[in-house]
Amino acid sequence: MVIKEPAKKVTIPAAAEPTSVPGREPVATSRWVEPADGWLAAGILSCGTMLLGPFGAIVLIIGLVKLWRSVKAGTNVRPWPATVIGTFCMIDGMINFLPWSLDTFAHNSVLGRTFITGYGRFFDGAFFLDYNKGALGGVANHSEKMWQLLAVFILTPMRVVSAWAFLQMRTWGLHFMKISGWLYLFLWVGYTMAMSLDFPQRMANSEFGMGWWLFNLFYLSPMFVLPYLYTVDKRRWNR
Amino acid sequence: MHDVLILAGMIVADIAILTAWWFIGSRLVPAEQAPASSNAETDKGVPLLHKILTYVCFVLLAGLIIECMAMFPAILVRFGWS
Repeated sequence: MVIKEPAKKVTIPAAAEPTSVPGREPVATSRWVEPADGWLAAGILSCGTMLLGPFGAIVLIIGLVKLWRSVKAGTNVRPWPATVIGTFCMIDGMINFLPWSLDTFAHNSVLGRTFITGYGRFFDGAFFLDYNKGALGGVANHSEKMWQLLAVFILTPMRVVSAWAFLQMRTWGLHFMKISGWLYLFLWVGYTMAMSLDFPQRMANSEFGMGWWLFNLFYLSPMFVLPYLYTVDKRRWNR
Repeated sequence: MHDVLILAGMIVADIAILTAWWFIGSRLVPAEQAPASSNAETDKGVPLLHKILTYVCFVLLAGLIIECMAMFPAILVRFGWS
């Protein structure tokens, strides 16, 4: 590991775009790796808040369609699997980061209380029972609170920034995606254990008892992402 | 007004946390040289693996987008504001 000087703004010339493609004018410099990355970022960030989900999803889908068209036209710089996997990881990080931070910092607001206790009534009783009665406010369940602080301050913000840096083909993005992938696996094992041990209080008190299965599906992301990260041609992540 | 201050504080805290991790991550770059075998994207079986992983992650991504779209409206319809 080396300590790096603050990175200077590197621009990837859109020279990778052939001038022969009709309707796609060459651009001298680009802020993003792909021209549609602005749509992608706005879509992921707003969709990942969960509160703005329906609007963010539209923006995100527009971004993905634009990127897919670029792949079909052969003008893309970033491989399509990297786009899909990076987007999946970033939105996964966001939907864990923001709602949990809503509970950590804004559990006394109407918005925070409505969203968190509503989620609790639907899926996980820990987010509803004795809400705002614990020492730190918000969720009262001790094991949930412990995972929450760990996720809000370390893992999920790390996941979000590493996924974006990965999408921008930065060397440290690929590196941090691997680190946060392994940490995510750590979180998954611990969280599954906490959920299972508290099953009667948490799942049995929710409207749909499928909460355990639902969260497990998405927390399994390291199983699918790590094999990709370790077999990809890392020379491409050179920004 | 009370809620606005709380939510604004949360957004500031979130941005500060994300910025801190971006700052840390962008200054830590692995120094080791990649062995030839680690650049194995074209090796036998790897393209197929990538294809399968891409399909799986795309399905999961679609599931997450649906979850993001439906969760808050469903909460409001079923339970209202609390």
